[in-house]
Amino acid sequence: MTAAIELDALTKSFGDVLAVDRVSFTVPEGQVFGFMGHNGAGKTTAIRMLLGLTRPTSGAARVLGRDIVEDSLEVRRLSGFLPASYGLPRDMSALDFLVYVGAMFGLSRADATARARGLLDLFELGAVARKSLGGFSTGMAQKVGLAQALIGRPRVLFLDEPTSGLDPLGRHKFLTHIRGLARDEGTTVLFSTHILSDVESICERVAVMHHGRLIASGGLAELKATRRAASMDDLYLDLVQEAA
Amino acid sequence: MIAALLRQEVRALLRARRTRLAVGIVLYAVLGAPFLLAKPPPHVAEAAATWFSGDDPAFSLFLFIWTDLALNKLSAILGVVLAGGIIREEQARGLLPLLWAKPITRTEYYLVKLAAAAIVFTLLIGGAGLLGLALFPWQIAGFRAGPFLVVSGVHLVGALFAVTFSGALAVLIRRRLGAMLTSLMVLMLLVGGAFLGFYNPAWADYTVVNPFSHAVWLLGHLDDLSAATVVRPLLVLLAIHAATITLGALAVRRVEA
Repeated sequence: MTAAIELDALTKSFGDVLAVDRVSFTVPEGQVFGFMGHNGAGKTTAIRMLLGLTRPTSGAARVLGRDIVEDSLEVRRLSGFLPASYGLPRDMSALDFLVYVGAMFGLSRADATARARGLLDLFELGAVARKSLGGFSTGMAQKVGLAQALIGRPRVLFLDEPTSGLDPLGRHKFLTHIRGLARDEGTTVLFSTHILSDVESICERVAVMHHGRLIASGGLAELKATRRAASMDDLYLDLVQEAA
Repeated sequence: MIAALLRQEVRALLRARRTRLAVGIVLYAVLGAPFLLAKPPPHVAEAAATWFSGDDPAFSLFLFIWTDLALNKLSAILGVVLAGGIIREEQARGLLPLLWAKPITRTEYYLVKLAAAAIVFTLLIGGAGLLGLALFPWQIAGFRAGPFLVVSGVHLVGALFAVTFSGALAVLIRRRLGAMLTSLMVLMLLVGGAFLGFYNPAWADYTVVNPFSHAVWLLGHLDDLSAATVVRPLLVLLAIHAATITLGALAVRRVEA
């Protein structure tokens, strides 16, 4: 099993606050990997370090074998990222925004337009491709968010709380897309969330964070069996109570 | 990649609402200049006659009104409108992490945004000059296209300081509105002091750091628009631009996504 993402005692502190404390785990290639923890557990900070948005205080990490500090641009070239919260530019159309992001990956206008149209069709947004993003609903905006993360044909996809704010049907469709990406295209997905049912439905392996520390990682079925947990809720509560 | 991104950035900026507002301001300035010239305030006419060389005081007066009352003020406002929110606008929307997770350095991203603002600024101010070139021969007695183009061209290079300065302050000052207001205040002060060296030659040394003074320097040399005369302010302006752009490019590395 080849590792797509490897964290080795990755640490980040902001003054006296230890946001991520010597976290180590490995994400196998081609899987949807659940990155769990409550709000403020350190998931977003860890992802930001992996993508070069903030420098680690200590420790190391590699994405597809590239060091996240020394080779950050290459890591980002191979990655897609959907942040937890963001506002799309209201003046731009969905198509223009995706073409703009495509240009950041070095795509020509023609290539970026073709790729953007394909993604908008995939997410059933083809009919509103030329509409201003200011008028998009939360679900539509989230689909554009996922489309921009996919425009560079990433081998690793970082999704930070991607289903928050989606209605049940929108969430189901979104998760189906994510599962399809890993199954059909071999994309590795680091799926950060605190929605346990989402993890249960699409992830084979997970890492659980609590107050900046990693409290468990491994196969979901294996963790459940070890802890004798009937459900994901039971497993998570058991882990968090033990760590507290 | 940078060229493709710059094209997209220019397209996006040209379509932005604030650029449409800027076009309106430019039209107002061009169409308003002849009205100002029709009945200039006496102190302006007197200043132009006293300050500038040239065998045609009426043309000097026109260029003074064009560069000072139209282009200088216009440039200060447009620079802030186009570049005063660079990076901070995306930051306020929470879009920076999404954009800076792409394979581009922060410095490259900043320079692309700045270059796009400079290109749109050039299109607007250059467009104002070209529109003037089409209209003024019919409206301004004794209008001469050559000196008008040379003076306007050098002024444009100087006026780009409004873009580079606003862009630098946008990344140096955390709050977007604060950065924009500070830029506007400083630029208006510089514009206000642009002709200080003409007003009192003894104070000319104080204007050496004022890009707008270099931008209007040729007004004092209308009888001698040789290559050497034109190149002098251009070199100074390029040095000032290089310093301002470097300052912004260094400061953007410290901006948190």
